[in-house]
Amino acid sequence: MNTDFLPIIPAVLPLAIAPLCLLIKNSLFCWALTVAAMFISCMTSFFTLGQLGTQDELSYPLGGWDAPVGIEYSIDYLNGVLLFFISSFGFLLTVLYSGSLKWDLKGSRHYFFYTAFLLTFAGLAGVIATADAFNAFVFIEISSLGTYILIALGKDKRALLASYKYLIVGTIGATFFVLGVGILFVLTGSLNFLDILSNKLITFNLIFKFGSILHPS
Amino acid sequence: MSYIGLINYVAAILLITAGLYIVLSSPNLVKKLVGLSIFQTSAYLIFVAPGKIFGGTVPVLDPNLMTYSSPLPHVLILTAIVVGVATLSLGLALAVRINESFGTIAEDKISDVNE
Repeated sequence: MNTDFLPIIPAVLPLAIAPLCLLIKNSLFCWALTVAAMFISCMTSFFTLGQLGTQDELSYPLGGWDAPVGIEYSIDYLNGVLLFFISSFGFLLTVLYSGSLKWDLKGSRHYFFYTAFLLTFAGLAGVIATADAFNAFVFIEISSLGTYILIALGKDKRALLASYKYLIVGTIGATFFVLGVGILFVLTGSLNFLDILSNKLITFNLIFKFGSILHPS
Repeated sequence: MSYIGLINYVAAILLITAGLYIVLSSPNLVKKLVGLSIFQTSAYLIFVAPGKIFGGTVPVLDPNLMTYSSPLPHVLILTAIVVGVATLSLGLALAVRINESFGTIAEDKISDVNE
């Protein structure tokens, strides 16, 4: 069986299920879909960890374009463990929290919670799985939009204000992140993390000059 | 070294500063979002400007063309603009809901309601 596509499943599957939840609107059915998506993501990341025993890194080039040119999703030991941790936590949360969701939200608005939760999880899984700096920015924004909605769903009307403030601060932060990605792209000509790291001058400057700012000798 | 080539960065940084100042200083929630939009868009200007090479053309394979401009920054910024529009629309929707709940979109009046 071809297992190359495994790293992309935890990011793409919740992203595909989220608009379905928005269309269905039935609380129980949305819950079943969310639990199914989270279970498959959890199992996929577990299976990916198992695959890592035979090879150092699972890599999936999107659209068949290989790493320095195209967008690459890669799972190694570090982010494989992180991905499994996050997806199993999300799976447990969707199973266990659904019972007490009715105290926090009206029954007719449960599908907003499931949609926003799936978007947030897709963003987090994408940030972990991707090996492309700009793709990481897009997924950071997706997970941020999900969390803005989750905060705005609170019972208290001050939740709206909190969500608004978080939106302002989060967007400013993400814009500075994209500025940094742009500067790295101008300096190295690449967006792939490993490709940026293979540029010795940039790595030297990032590690040693930043280190000498922190610890002036 | 000629400094005339850096004038687009100066303009973009001035715009970034203006947008950030509007976000920090304006008490109106919608005007804050306008400032945020200016801030984001001018950050994209810095990203897009290095994509242009004088004399560079579109990246098509042709024996007569030697210098190409990289199309990658434009594609990336197209994605970033879409993300920015999504953020802006979510912020405006939140401003509408805040107006329904608190009856105002002036930030200083909202803090009076809370006390």
